[in-house]
Amino acid sequence: MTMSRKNLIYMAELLIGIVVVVLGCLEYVDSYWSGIGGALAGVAAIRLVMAVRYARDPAYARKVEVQSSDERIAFVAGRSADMAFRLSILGLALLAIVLRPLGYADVSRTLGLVMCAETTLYWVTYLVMSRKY
Amino acid sequence: MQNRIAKLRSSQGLTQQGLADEIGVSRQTIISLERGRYNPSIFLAHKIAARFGLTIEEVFIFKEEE
Repeated sequence: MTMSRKNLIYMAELLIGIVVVVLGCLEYVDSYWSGIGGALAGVAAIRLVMAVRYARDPAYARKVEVQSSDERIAFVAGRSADMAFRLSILGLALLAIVLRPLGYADVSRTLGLVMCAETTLYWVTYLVMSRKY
Repeated sequence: MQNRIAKLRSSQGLTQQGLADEIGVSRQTIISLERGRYNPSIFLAHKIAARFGLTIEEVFIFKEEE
């Protein structure tokens, strides 16, 4: 059986993840890194299981292929990202305003900076997209 | 935008899933199109019209907003 390149990458990710988790259990690395290793191994394992399912079930593979290229789904994902961005800016602004009089000036300042960074990123992206389209 | 997709599909005895499979979209997309909740791209509109052997204008009813 010929392994696709993607499957080889997933297997490498799974192996790396398992190694990091084992190193964490042996206390060579702290829990932060073993957590990342566990997440990496988990995601890689799920991808490998899905890859096996694609190979064994052509109807399922076709269904997933359609879902990944469906323009309505891409449209909904784009609108969701847009709404999530707008709500996050609003949430950050409200929190920054509310937390300052409550005595959390540092947190308020940090949230304000994050909001400014997000807004700046939006405008830079907008300029790039304007030139592209 | 209104359209005649549901009527055309029914007249040819096609299910929503069947039309979705032929065009290469999900069944949910066909449902949203028929309900007028989603406006297709020109590529998808062309595919749908071509499937029914009609022009885009014969499938999709475009009305200027007053």
